[in-house]
Amino acid sequence: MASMSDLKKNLKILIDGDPYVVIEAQFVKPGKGTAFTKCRIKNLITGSVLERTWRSNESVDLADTENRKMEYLYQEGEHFVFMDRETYEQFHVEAEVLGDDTRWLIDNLVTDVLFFNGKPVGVELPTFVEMQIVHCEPGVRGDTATGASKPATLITGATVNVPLFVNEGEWLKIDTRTGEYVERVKK
Amino acid sequence: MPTDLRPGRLIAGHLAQDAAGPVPLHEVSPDIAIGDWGLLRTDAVGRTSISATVQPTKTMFPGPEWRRLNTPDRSGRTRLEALRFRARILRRVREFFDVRGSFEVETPLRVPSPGVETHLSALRSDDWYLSPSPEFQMKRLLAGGAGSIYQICRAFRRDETGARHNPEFTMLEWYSVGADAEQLRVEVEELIAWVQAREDVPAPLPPPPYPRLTMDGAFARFAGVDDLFAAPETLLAQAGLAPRPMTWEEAFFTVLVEKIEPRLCEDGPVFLTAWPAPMASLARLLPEDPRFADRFEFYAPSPAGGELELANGFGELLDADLQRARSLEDLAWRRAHGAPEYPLDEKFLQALAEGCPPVSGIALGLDRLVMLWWGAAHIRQVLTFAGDEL
Repeated sequence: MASMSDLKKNLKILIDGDPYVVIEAQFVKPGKGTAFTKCRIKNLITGSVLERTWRSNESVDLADTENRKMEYLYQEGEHFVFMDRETYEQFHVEAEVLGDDTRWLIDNLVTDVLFFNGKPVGVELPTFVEMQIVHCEPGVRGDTATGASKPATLITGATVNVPLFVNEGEWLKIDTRTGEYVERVKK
Repeated sequence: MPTDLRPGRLIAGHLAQDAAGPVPLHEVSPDIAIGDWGLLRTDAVGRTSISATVQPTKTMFPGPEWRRLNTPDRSGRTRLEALRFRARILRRVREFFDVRGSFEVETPLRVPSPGVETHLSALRSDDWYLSPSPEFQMKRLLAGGAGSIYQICRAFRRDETGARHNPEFTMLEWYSVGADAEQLRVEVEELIAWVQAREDVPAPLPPPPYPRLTMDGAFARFAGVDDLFAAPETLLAQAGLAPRPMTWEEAFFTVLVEKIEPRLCEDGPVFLTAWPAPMASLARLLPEDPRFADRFEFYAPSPAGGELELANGFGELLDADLQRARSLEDLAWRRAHGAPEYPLDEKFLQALAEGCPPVSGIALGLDRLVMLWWGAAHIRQVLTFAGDEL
């Protein structure tokens, strides 16, 4: 349980069985009356944001959450296996937790895994990943200005649009938030 | 680096600004080394030179203090600029009252009674308290025949910290003898117009007048509540809020904070008038409907979005017996809710019994007014030091 004076940004709290993080907490005291804390909170599993207001004499349950740095190992059926880099413990993460992000899972990728009540419920990928192109049409030399693009297939099977000058076998930097090509990288 | 390069100024020997940009001072004058202080001079033909050093200590430049005051914030302006703006506003506010013949008083900050208002938490100072409001002492001055008075002072309130709150803040409190609450609202508008006409205000309020809205009307308009004295569950249900067990007072403030305040300033500043009597034990009751008190709050749109509560005014309660009875009710509430019990200020009650002229009074949060005019989203941007900077 946390009292309202503990209700600050980044506190993890439990509402209707779901873990939330406080994004913004504002102290208000309308008309010299009861004190309130107005919060914007984010559901740690679904990502949805909502506003909640608590009176100063209310309390809120804390969520049992933990962030662990984990390395992606391999896929096993409908599960993806991650390993804690400190304890070498392994966990099976369900595909639905990862959603579309499975396409950026390369071996040994280091991620932030959110545990809620001891279970992995969220995986945050690094903002950028570097991946090799396994197939695309041959490059067009010198075309760096027209903005035209072509699809390229990456080592995990994901497809991204790349500029025409990019070649098969080259390594790319990808923004995992948007799934877009950022630049070529030398390997 | 915006070093002040007016003649006669002491400047730290790191960088000076000339037309071409920053120049190390030791290049301007061979007498000055890094970390020295020098005195800037301009001769008759406009040539600038720097005197020999006069420093007591070598300066660490730019050090943490210098950076705290001189680093531009997201709006591109520095704390130092905000503080200079604040000083100009303070001078204009004083001028406004001085010109009208109201005079400035200073009452003690350390007092034997902080008042017994229900939601007030006072800071102790030995056996006494740091004053959360200069009201009692100012009313004693009124009983003594002081006439219209104003004060710019610090007020202290425990546990109030946030983007709009600092436990120690600056209050402008004034009393206008012979004025009713409506005349006081006009004075608020005149004060705003006075300053805005004379100072370059980055984020001015629209010109007055501003609408007056009764609390009753606001509950109907923004929350769909037809009777604000209805049972707490009715208030919450009519306002479309989830049922939670709470008292009427808690339900009232919950509807106010969740449904009314966020929309109150949609069309600009507004006076919210006629508060329920239990929320204004120092205001007189409205003769036409004694369930309501002659209290109003002035709200303006906040630079951070939503509303900012700026001032709280009363048609003052001047009946000593009634004041004692209402203070005892507040005290009983405090006892029932486990809040610290503060002593009544008997000298204040005695002054009311002695007789005060009809008067209206108002407290305005000056930090917030400066915030608003400066376009600051956080109160610290207009304070010399916020609590966590001490």
